[in-house]
Amino acid sequence: MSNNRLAIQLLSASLASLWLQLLSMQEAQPLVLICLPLLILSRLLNPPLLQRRSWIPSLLMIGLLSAWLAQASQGGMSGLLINCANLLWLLSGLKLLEAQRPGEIRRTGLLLLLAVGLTGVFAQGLGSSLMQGSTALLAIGSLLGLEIGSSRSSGLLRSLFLLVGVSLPLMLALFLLAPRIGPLWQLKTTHQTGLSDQLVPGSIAALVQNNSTAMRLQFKGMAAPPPAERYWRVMALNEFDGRRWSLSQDKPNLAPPTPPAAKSLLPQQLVLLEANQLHWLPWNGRGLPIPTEIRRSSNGGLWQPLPVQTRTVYSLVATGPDAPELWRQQPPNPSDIYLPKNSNPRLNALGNQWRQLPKPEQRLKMARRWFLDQQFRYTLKPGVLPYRDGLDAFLFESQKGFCEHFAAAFTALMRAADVPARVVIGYQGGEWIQDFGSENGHLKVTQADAHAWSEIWLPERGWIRVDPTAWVVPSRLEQNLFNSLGAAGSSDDQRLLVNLPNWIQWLQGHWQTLDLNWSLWVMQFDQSKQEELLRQLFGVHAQRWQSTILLASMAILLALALVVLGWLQPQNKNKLRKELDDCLFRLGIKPKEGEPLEACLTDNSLSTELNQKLANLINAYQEQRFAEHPRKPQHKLIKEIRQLKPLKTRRFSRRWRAKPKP
Amino acid sequence: MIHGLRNRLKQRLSREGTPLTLSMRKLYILPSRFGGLWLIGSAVLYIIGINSNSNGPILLAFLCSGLFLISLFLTQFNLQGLELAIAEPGPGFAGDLVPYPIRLQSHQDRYRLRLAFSHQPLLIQPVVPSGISLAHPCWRPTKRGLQTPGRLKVYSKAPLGLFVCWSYWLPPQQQLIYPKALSGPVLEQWRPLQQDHPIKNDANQANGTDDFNELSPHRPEEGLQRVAWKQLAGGHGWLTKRFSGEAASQRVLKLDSKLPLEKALEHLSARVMELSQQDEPFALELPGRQVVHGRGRHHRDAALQALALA
Repeated sequence: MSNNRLAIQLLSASLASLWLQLLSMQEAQPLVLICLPLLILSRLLNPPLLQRRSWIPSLLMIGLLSAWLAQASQGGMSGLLINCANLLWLLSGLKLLEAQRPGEIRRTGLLLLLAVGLTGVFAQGLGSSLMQGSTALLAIGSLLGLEIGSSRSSGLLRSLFLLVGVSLPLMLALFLLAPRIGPLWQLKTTHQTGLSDQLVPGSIAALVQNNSTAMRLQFKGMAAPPPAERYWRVMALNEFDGRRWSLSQDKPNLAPPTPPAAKSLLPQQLVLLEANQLHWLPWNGRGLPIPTEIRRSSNGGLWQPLPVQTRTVYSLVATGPDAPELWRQQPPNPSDIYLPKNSNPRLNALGNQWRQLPKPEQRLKMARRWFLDQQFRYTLKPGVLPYRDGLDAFLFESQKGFCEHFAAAFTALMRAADVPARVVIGYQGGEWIQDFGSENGHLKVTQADAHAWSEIWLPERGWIRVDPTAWVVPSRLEQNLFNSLGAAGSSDDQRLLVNLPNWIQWLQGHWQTLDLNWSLWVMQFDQSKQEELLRQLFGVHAQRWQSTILLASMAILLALALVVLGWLQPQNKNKLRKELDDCLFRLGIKPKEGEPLEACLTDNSLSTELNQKLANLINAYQEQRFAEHPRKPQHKLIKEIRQLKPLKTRRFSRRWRAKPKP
Repeated sequence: MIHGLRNRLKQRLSREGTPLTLSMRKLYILPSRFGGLWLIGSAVLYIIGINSNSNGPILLAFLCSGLFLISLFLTQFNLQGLELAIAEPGPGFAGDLVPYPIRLQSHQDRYRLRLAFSHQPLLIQPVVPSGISLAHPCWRPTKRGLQTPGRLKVYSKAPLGLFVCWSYWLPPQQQLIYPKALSGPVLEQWRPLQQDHPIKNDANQANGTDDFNELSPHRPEEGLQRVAWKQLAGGHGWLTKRFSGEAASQRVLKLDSKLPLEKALEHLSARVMELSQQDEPFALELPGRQVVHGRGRHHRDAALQALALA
């Protein structure tokens, strides 16, 4: 197999693994996904039509590119980066098809590396990164195969791993120490959505079946909250039009940013949030957010100016158990009590009955009792509620629903009873995942943990959380959603959620721990983390010496890499000859190139006895090398050669001892 | 000053002597064009990374930079310590591709060594194993006589093609180049055998005509007169006896004085090859040089050498 052929096969493998990764990415356009395997196949089968440099490959190229352009223009220029990435993926396939000469093959390899890099923008998990790494490895392997060739395929693999292996420390040094600069311009990417900023029946029921991770939380210097306290609020919906709960249109009223005095050493929660396109971040309502762009709003939200487009890390520094939660004390707005008079008449009537009670707490108690007395059922399939007076239909007719039905109906009831109330959507629950072999762990919250509850205003206590779903299904708080469905007795709902065997969950848990740490420490490593690292390693003035440290470490690592490569250089395979050369060297004889071995017997200063021994050995060596059936086996000869060595050393040491001291 | 510098550079670049060990001082290294593209690619990856705020492309960009740095040394090491020496170059014809063997001595495996004389085709040696090996870069001589192929460029791009490391060498050994074999008119004379032999003590002449001096495989068209019956009886198969002086007159090739010297030599060269292939005996007379009547490979080579050096 020629070097070119080998390189092309490696490139095809690299492109195939890129394609595998694109399959799981939403950004990849169908045209690219369909064309890439066809291009790879046609390159590997190498039909004679394509071998000639004729108009056919270029026609194919023009056709595919125009098809891509048509598709890209249809989708609008919403994501320039996505379109560019798709173009690059497609181009790398086309380039592979036309690569024939070494130069072209090399450029294809480079293009593939760029294509892999672009997938890294969209998929940043540990699995994706490993996949990207192997794709890049194959592309580099093709470059290496072009030069080193396939004479020994294991040799190629070894050289590839060696080369990349010694480059990894250099990469790491650059990654940790090279000065970081901020983005030159802002790129927009679109990602999957999580919670939406309004609540209409059915929207959260659809989310529950999505088991993808929503966020992960680590608790540093503090304990994780007990299961009943795991409420992560995202948005407070206070606008109600009789059917739809939505976010207030006004700009959020923001609290001042976190003072810089808040040190990262204090107990804190570290949150790794997946992209969800929302301005609002989940939190449990306590603590000071870091970084300072994230602000607390007066309605108890955590708001940042840019929507969450990629995985984001933020932390909440604990403020102590007695610190007031300011947002709870914010008095209600008129919109927090507004209820359209012309909708849901039965709900209005029920609420009006409770108005007779003097205290809001008593009205809350009444409502609780009423909910427990009714035969409410908790289900994933509550059916469609009528467009008008939907809440009436839920409360007094179907009486089956999901958290959003309970939360919406209870909040409306409270407003009817003249208690300010709002619906809060966010996440409730989460699964604790222990790190492998350590005390630490993290809480994983999935989209299946999406939840809705209520907050009501009590003049003495401020805004307090009320979860009407918990009245109906108390187990919802303690266990995960799967079990709560069983407790509520709707067994066929369980089929909608798949429960995996324990060992797979165990594996998943550890994988997720790794993934989390990869995201936290590698993918989210930025300027501030770099500064912190430098400060910890080299002291306060590290910044000033950053480039010196970088250069020095690069030089050291480069030297080390070369030493390692020198060590691992494939040695002369002839072990016997090596032993003999070693022996001769110790005896102070240096055989000249091209001279027969026997020549060293005549021209040396050894004793006759030693010389005789050496002559015997050399004869035996010659016989071993060239005779058809040597008398002595190799290992025996090696032993004899080794025995000869100490002779000289002993002689030397004797001479040393005999030497008179000056 | 520039002139002096250029001279010094020329001296440096065309290092003579044999054998030549490619040491650090004799090697030059620069990024190849692909190396430049590679750097641009790394920069693009880095910019994509910092702009999209994702570390994946940044890691890849840094890996590419690391590979670039390592590759600088590995490319140099692929050539460093290689010893070049001349193996005996055989003769060849002007205008043909003539191999100029070079002995490579190395204490480690080297990959994808490229050897080329200036303006001559490239030889790629996929692997140079540790020990001694031969490489045969070719050149196309334009002139006859004792020629040297000129400056040899030894270079390598292994392992990744990011750098090109090279060295120059001027191998001093001359190679015998015969005139180009170009068929055309030749002055041919037939001369009685005993008349014209000025050099009586020539070795070829010493062989009598009574006895054959060569045996060759028998061809049916040669008839039965010259069959070596003794050898046939001895079980050696059908052979034909060839006598050194079997023709009554000898063919003498001479320069056609009407043609320019080089042209005439080229025609003679073609004629010599033609006659040797047909195994016809001939003699060659050139101004100042003579090749006595004879045949066989050695005779042909002697004649061609005379033509080359005329």
